[in-house]
Amino acid sequence: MSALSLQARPALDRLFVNYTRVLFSRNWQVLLAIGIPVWIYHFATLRGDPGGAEITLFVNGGLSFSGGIIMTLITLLWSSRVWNDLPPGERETFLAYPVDRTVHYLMRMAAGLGLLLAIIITGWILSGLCVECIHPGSSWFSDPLLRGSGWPISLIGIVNAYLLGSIFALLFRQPILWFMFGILIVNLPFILAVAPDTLLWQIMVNPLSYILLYPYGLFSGLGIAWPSLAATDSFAGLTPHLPALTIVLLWTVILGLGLAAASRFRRER
Amino acid sequence: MSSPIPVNIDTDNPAVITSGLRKYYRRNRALEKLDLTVPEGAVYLLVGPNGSGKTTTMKILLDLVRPGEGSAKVFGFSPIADGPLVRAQIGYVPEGRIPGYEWMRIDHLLAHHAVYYPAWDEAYARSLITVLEIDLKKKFQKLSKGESRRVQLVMALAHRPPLLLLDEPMDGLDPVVRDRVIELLAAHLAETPTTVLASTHHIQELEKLADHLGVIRAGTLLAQSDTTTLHTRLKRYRIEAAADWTAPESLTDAIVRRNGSGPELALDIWGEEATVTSALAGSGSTVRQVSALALEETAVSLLAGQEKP
Repeated sequence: MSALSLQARPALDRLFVNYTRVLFSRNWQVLLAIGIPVWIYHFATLRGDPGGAEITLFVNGGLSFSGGIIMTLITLLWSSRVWNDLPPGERETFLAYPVDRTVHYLMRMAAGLGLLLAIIITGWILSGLCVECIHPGSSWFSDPLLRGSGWPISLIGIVNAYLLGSIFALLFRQPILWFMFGILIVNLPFILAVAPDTLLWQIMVNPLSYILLYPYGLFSGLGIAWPSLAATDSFAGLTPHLPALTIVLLWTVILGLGLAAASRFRRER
Repeated sequence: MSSPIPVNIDTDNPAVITSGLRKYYRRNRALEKLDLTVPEGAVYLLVGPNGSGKTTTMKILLDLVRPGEGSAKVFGFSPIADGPLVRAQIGYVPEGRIPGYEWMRIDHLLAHHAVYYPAWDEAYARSLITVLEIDLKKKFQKLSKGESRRVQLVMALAHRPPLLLLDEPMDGLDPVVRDRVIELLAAHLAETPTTVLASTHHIQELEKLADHLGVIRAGTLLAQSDTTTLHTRLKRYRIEAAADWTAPESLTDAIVRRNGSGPELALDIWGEEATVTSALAGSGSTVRQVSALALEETAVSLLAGQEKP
């Protein structure tokens, strides 16, 4: 009887549902606080020009960075915070099951990530519908390229990244590193190979790929070319607005958050 | 002469063994060098006052709490290193209600619970539900204390685990249901090879099932032994003695408890009955009655501490 066999898929699903419920019931205000601005943002930017003027790209770039930070915070810290605030008896109810603590940690992160994605995508679709009602033909619903290849591919990217990251994390029991590695492997082909518009939407939809923007921004901000990306039109207006120092600072914050999350994880174990 | 009360159990097949467990919650001591041995197949009652460390011991076996020092093994596995393996072999009834599932209906809760245990026996679960008269359509938060206890028993028993950890399993149950639970546990033990570690304040109710007793106070085991040895070695001697009577030196460490004053005394003494009686008679007292102690009296006697004459 191996430990892995005990972490059967249905059990993981149950844990995921449990933690989603715990996070939502304890902290739905956080979700609204994050979700409402994102909805407003999508509504505002989608209303007039879904094609990509320079200013839109700049705003998108800004959101990519702030989105990345928020996602990192939520996936690594928020779920742990809620978990640690639970009464000990409730934590023990979950922990008494024959499941590895690494899996518990992963499922909490996944629940936090899933909730945020759910609220962002819901807002995104709703704002698209609203825009379509007010200005028919101007939302992404009417854009065949985006409808056909953009956000559906992004959603597949999210799911695949999550699944592969989870499998790595389960196999090697190093949740954060392997989770990120799985995301990287799945997202790289999208980042490097897909069409420019798809890439833009990929970045907007898939908050995990926000994180991947940082090295790109860092390299480009420092004047180091990343040819396959620099060649895309979507980033033509983006990079000049991202000073290298800002990017370095943001990376420092991200690394700090990552270390804090790793430390919290060790304490939880 | 050191105390003759046994604090170690020799066995080749321990289901649970702890060695030097120490646990403090900040400055509050929960366990202090706890050496617990539960032989495989035993029904071990762990008794002690509130706050003596019973619940903490069980939580350490499930890796819900980590000890500051010492180690624990469950069927040879460490709860820390092999947590999922260990927990898969344990049916756990925690003290009080289980929080976190108030929103679930009982049938949903049981289905949810079953997923974690590949050995879940659905037919057996259904029979337990029938015997314990559980209303599957009720929400967990609507259950009384006794009803939630019954649900917890189903959750613990239905995957037929080789080890049951029962923390106050009779708490909240009415007398009729208690009898039913005792019968159910007896039938379960007859059908399924199971080791039981139970903490309880209702010793007399589990006495029929128990074959080992551990007495714990302030995180330290005062005694642990099989019940046969306890019944035959720890007895109550009612004696008549002069007011200035003192116990013979050979019994100083063997007297577990002393009650009464004046000419009539009741002494709980550990040892061979013939040897003790002879020693008492030799000291100028008259032995009026010798009686074996019920398990609850044994526990109370040991918890009261060894009084020196």
